[in-house]
Amino acid sequence: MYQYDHYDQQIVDERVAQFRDQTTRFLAGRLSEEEYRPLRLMNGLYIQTHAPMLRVAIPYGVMSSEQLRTLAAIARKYDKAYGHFSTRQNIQFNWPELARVPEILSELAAVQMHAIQTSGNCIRNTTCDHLAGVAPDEIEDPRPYCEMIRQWSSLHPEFSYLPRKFKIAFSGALNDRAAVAVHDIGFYIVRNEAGETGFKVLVGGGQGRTPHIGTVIREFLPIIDLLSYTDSILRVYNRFGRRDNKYKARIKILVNALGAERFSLAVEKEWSANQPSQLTLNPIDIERMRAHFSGPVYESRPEGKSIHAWYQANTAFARWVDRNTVSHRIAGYNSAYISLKAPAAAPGDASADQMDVVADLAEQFGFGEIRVTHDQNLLLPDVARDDLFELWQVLRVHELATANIGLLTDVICCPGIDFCSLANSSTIPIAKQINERFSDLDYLHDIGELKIKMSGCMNACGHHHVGHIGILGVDKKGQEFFQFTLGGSADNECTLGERLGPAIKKHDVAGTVADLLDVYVELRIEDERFLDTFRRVGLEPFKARVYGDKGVENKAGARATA
Amino acid sequence: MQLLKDGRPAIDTWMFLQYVADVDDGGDAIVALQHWSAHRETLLKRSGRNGLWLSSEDEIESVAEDIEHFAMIALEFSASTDGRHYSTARLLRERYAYSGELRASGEVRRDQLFFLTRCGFDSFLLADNCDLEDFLRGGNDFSSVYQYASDDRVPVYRRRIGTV
Ligand code: SF4
Repeated sequence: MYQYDHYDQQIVDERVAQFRDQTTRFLAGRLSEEEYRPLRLMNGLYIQTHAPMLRVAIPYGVMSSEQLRTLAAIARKYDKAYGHFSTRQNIQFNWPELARVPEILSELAAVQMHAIQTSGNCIRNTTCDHLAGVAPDEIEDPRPYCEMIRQWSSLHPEFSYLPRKFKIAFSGALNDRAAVAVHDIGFYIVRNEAGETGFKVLVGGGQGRTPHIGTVIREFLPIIDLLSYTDSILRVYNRFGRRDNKYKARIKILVNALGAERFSLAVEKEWSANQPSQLTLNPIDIERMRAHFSGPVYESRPEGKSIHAWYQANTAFARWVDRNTVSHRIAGYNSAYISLKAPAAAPGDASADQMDVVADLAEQFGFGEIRVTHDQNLLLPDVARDDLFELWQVLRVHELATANIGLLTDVICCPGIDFCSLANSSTIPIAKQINERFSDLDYLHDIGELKIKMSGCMNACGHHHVGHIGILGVDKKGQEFFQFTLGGSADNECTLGERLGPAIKKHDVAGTVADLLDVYVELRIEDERFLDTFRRVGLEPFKARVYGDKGVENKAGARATA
Repeated sequence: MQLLKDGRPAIDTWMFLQYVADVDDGGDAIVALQHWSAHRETLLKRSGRNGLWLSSEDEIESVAEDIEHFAMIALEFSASTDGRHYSTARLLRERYAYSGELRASGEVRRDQLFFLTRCGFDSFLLADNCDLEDFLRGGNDFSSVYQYASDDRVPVYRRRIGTV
């Protein structure tokens, strides 16, 4: 993975000093709350329901064992001994004390981590396929480009006060595991007819209150133009994005207002006017960056007999292997998911002890590297198949072996009203409700792949628009209700979910999921997934079951079946 | 108001013309974009220097042909979080090769100074209660940078490989 040199270290250290100074001035009354706000946000610090929330960047979801141990230590020392992994591959601490945040930042800087631009109206942490570098379906490893974007966008003098936040995602594989199409800019690595790799560029995707799927504005962007082209998109957005209404300020609104064609023309014009650009990458820039990610040297680890024996003998283990491990580009290896969705856990939360365990395991069964997935789980990228049983045994002891990756109980969920001051509703208790209702493992495995995504308000941090079942918390006269959407997906055929009907009462959420699944089980053909069945049969049968005869005329919340 | 120019306090010689089309006393006069467009011919005949003031909404392209006539351009920040004029400044310096005084006015604070300077601003019109020494400290926040801008700092990725 990428290692800082003295320049990177110096910049991060100076950022800590700058933030320490800003915080001191604020606490001394020399900066008003209004003046301090954009400054703290630009460093990932929110003022939340209980205390400040600090969001720490895990660049494109990759971290080392040493870094994870530091996160654990910070969780113990400054927080309540746990952290929350977010859908953007970051980690959030919910209970730090404002005056001590600079201290936390300097502990982070000591292990090459930071909170730079994890919030605020600037270019955020770039996200990426969590299987980058190890996936068998990969065209090219996207991490070098993520790191280039990370550096270029960090403390950018021109683009630090954008109309709104700005998110960039990369995928270098055939299957999109990074929800690329719902980002402000999405880059797919593709190959052209000449066999060269480059980027297919999408712009204007996003979630929030007006979800959009990104539009392609360049079918093939040569790698050398990555930074110059991104720079041009940002300049057009910085200058012409709306600033009068924060709900209309994302780039998707600009792209929509101009139309994809005119927007793309504006970018191309800006880009041409900058040619020749200092931002054009040299082959040596690219080679140097790629070298950082050339990957570990894998020793040959042929599969022994024991893995098969254990697989035959132990159903729980077999289930975990089937569900939580995926194939690796190197024979004899797998990538193993570590579920942070144990039945009693808040989705995405990990205790400091669990973090330490995972850090150790990554060293014991890998090369000391851990990934964060945008489904709020962790991943050990390089586990020899022969070690899987041993790994599973340790994970089990620490409640990290729930075999539910991609299943119904692998719920994606934002922190909701328990932690977020913008929330309309709770989310964690709903995830619990679902977990309790669907505790039968055989049923879960029978239902198969199902992505439930839940947000506590329209900001959509829980990505509900792209959930196979999306659940959005809404407030109706002080009461919590839940709006369902069906058929969303963030994979290659990205779709936004369709609204099922009036919002559902809090206590009926799991019951409604059960109704939806009954319809699916009745209508599915062979091994169709929920999403496939939905795409085939449409919304009606589901709607009819949930709302009964009264259909959509039903008064909001009054589910026909109590 | 206090003026900082090239890192030092300076006297503001610019008179803002708002109500009269033109004052030709040989002094420095600055006008808003609309004013310039309306009285361009008259203003061009002045013996003193001309300056241009742009609100956050104004786009530099509309006077692209006239830039050589200005000895000073002031860009207004209506809010410290309105970043449009960072782009305007870079366009002026890099695309239009503007080399006159480039002034930031309005909501301009210490914590923006590093970025403002990098984008080509060399003068700052500040509130009377602004502590100038403290303000100037903001210009030294970072000793290395990751990107090219309008200043002559070389980004670290080029310093690493020595291909300046
Ligand atoms: S979706 Fe709403 S409630 Fe949930 S974390 Fe985001 S802002 Fe908070």
